[in-house]
Amino acid sequence: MHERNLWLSGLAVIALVLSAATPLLASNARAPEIDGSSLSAGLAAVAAGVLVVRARWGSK
Amino acid sequence: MNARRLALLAAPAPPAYALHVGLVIALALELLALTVGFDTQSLLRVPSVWALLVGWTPQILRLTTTAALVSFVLAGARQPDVIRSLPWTDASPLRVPALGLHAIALVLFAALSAVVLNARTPFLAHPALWTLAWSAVGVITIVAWGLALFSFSTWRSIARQAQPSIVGGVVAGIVIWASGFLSEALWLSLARYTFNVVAWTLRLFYSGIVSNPQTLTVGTSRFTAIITPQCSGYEGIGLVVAFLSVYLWCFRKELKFPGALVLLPLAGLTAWLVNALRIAALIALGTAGWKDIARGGFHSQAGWIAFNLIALAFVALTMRFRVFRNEAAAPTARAARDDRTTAYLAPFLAITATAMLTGAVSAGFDWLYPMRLVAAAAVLWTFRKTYRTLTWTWSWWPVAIGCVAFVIWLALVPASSTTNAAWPQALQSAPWYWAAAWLACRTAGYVMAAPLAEELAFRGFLTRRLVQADFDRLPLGMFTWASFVISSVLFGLFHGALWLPGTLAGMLFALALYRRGAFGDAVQAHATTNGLLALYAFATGHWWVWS
Repeated sequence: MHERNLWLSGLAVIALVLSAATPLLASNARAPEIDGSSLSAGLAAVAAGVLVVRARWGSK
Repeated sequence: MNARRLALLAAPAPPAYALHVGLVIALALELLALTVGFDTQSLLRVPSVWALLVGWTPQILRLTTTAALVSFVLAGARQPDVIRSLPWTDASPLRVPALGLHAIALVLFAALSAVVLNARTPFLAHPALWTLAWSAVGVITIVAWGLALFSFSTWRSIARQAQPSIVGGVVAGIVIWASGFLSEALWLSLARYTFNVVAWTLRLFYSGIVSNPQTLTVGTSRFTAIITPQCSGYEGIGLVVAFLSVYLWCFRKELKFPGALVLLPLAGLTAWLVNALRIAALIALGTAGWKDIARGGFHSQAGWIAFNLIALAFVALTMRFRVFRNEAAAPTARAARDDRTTAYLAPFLAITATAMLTGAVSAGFDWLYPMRLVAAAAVLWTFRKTYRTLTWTWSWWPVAIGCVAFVIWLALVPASSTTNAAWPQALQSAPWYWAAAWLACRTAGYVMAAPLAEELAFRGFLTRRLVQADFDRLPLGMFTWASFVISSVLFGLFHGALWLPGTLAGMLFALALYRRGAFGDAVQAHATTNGLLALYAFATGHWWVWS
C-alpha cells in the first residue's frame, strides 16, 4: 500500500514539475520575472530548503 | 557473491501498477515534447475560423490537464477505495494493439501538426479538412492510450464511481483555467501599481528620476526599465501562492486552520512587493554602471532567489508560530534524524544557492564559480563526522558504470546545444593565470564537489526518504522500484533540458550504490562520468557536454 502511495506521490510531483515547466520554458517573454531556464535549479533549491528547514526547526 | 549482491538480484519485481505509472509518464513526456516542438503562433496570421479553433488547442490541453490532475488528487484524498479497487494486475485485453495504435497515431499526429500548426500551404488550401483530420488523429491517440491503460469497462466504472471527484476536478479546473485569463486581464493594472512602487522606491535614493506612466518606463537618467506585464509580479505571486497551497495541503495535519490560510494572501503580497524591489535594485545596478549584470544574471536569477527566500520564510513561519501550528499533531523529538537530513542535503543546497547568487551578479559568464566550491567545501567540512560513517572503499565496478554513463551522456546530449558557448571567448579575454585558476576550480567542482553533493542528496537521501520518513533507519542501497525510478527521474529533471541522459545516468549511479550498498560507489561512478566529460571537453572543445 505504501509503495502504491509512493508511486502516486512521485507521479504527482513529476507531473507538477512538468506542468510548471511547460508554460515557463515556452515563455516568449524577453525578460520574465521568473526565468524558465532556471526552473530545475529553482525548484530543487526550494525543495531541499523546505526539507532542511523542517528538519532543523520541526523538532523544537 | 556477497549478501548485498544476492539482495539486489532478489530485488522485488516491479509492482503491478508500474506499467500504469510508466504509461502516464510516457503520455506526459509526449505532450511536453509536442508542446515544446510546435507553436501555434503561426496560426495567428491566418484569417480562418479553423485556424482560430486549432489555435485554442493549448487552452483545451491546459484545461483538460488541470481538470485531470485535480480529479486525480481529489479521488486519491477523498475516494481512495476507488483507486485501490482498480484492476491493477489485470492487463487490459486491448493493451498491446492499443499501444501499437497509439504509437502509429502519435507519429501521424506529429506529422499533421507540422503542417497544421506551422500553417503550411496544404493547410491554408483546405483548412477544414486538415483541422478535422488533425483533431480526429489527436482523439484516436488519446483514446488508444486510455485503452492501453485500462479497458473500456474499467473507464466506465471509474466514471460512475468517482463521479464526485471528477465533477469537482472539472469545476476546479475551469476555475483555475479561467483565473488565468482573469490574471491576464489584471496584468496591466498590476503593472501600473508595480510601476508606482518602483518609482516611489527610486525617489528615496535618487533625485530627478525618469517616470513615464503611459509607457510604464521608470528609472534614472543613466538607466531605465519598462515594466512589462511579465515583470509586473504575477509570475512570482502565482509561484509563491501555488507553492504555499501545496505545502499547506501536504502538512495540513500539522497546521491550524483557518488561521494558516491567512498566509496565502500575505505570501502573494510579499512576492509582489519583493518583485517591485527587485526592479528597483535592477535599475540601481544599471545606474551604478553594471548594466550587463542588471540586464543579464540579475534579471534572470533575482526572481528565483526571491521566490526561494519568500517560500522558505513562510514555511519557517508555520514552524515557529503557534498561531499557525497544531501543537497536538506537530512532530517532536526528531533531532537525531534532523541532523542527518541536513548533512545529506546541505552540500547540494549550498551549491545550488551559491550558483543562484553568483549567477545574479554575473554578466553572462560566471566568474564567481569558485564560490560554489568554497560553499560546498565549508558544508562538507561541517558535517564530516556524518560522512565518515559512510562506506568509502575503492572498486572498479563503479568506474565501469561511470564509463557507461559517459557514453550514454555523449550519445544523447544534442551537439547543437549552446551551453557553455561563452566559455572560450570569456577565458581568452582574461589573463592566462585567471583563466587557468577558474578552469581548475570548475573542474574540481565538476569532478569532486558536484558528485559528492548530488549523490548525498539523490542517492544517499532521496532513495531512502521516498521509502520512509526516518530514512536513516534504512540501510544505504535499499532497493524499491518506486524510489529507484522516482529519484532517477527527479535527478534527470534537475538537469533541465538534459532530463533524459540525466535520468539514465541517475539510474546507473543508483545501480552502483545498490550493488553492494557502499555510498562511495555512487560517488565514484558519478565522478568518473564527470571526469571523462571534462576530459572530453578539454580534448575536443565541445564544451556543451559539460553541464
